[in-house]
Amino acid sequence: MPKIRILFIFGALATTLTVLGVATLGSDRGEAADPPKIIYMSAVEFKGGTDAEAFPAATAPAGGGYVIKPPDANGRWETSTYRWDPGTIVVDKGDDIELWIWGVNGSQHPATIEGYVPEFTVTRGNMTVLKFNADKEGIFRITCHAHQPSMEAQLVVMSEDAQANDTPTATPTKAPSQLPQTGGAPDDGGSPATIGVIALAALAAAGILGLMLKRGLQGDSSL
Amino acid sequence: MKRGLLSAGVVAAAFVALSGIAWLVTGNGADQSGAAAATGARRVIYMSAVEYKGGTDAEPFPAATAPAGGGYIIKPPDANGRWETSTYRWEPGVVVANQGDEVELWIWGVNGAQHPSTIEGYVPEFTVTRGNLTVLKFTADKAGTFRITCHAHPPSMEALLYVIP
Repeated sequence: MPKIRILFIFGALATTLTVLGVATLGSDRGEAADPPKIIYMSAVEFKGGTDAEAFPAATAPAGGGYVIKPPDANGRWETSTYRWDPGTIVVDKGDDIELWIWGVNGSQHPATIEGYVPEFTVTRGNMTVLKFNADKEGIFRITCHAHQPSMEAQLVVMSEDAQANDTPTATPTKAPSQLPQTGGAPDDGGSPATIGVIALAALAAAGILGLMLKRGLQGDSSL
Repeated sequence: MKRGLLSAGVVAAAFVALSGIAWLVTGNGADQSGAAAATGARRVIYMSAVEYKGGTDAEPFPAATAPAGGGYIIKPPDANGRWETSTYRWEPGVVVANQGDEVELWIWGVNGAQHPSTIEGYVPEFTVTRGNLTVLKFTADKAGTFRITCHAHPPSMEALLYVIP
């Protein structure tokens, strides 16, 4: 049956393409050409105090992130809060990220980045460098578990759609992924993996069509 | 030709299955994390009202006057020649939510006695006071950038709420 044979050839082709597509996924992401995007943060404590305002009646939320010191001999009371600075950082999906975090206030900040870094600790006077690929889009919490609830920043990973609307800024070294690609780097629409998936979908459709045709013909012949 | 038909069916099914797997593996499937995903998620965002302070006795006192409004402060040189400057700010100066999020803004007052404020398009009126927590709850149902403005410390005490569509 020639039709069956053709279907088998399609099958072999599809399998080969699948293997090829999966094999090239690795090279599709994290292209070695772009240097990592370095983002600088610090662990800080904002402090304030007064002797001219009434001491707050309400208690601060527990957890260590908010501090209230009662009035001293001169009637001055103080408050502070532990924070990551900046409180919001933004990257493009697919970026290789290095977060350089400096400890200014607070001795220890045992922390996590939701979805990305299961555990790290920032200590005063020391640099902590975290490296990861921003392969998931969305808003992720950077949380210090010793200074709850306030010491929580936002890691915003922008989608590819949003990146397409971006225009390169005056600081190209900070946004290498947004610069025009040169020298035949695969773009979003033409990567091997994408081509493989499109080919597979087309083949699947052809296969189903073939099957339906076959069934249809047999139905006709039985009349 | 039942066997032939069966084989064809198996091959067709394999096409579909492999395509599906490839589609998922390439990340086109529903692989967003819980943090990123669906609308209606509760999102707590922490901010504080702060004043950044600086001063020197080694630089000349600025000739230009600061913009009026209370957001920028310049104190003239004291007996030792030291002058100071400061600015009131929301920290962080940019916060981000996804459209549809149930947002809770937790704002702690560190510097400044009173910050009577608004969030353009979202919160008509609120006040942050030193040593107290102010919690604002709203649904981020409009996409765009919206100004979080303290009316006691213009023009500098203004942050951006960015709602991603």
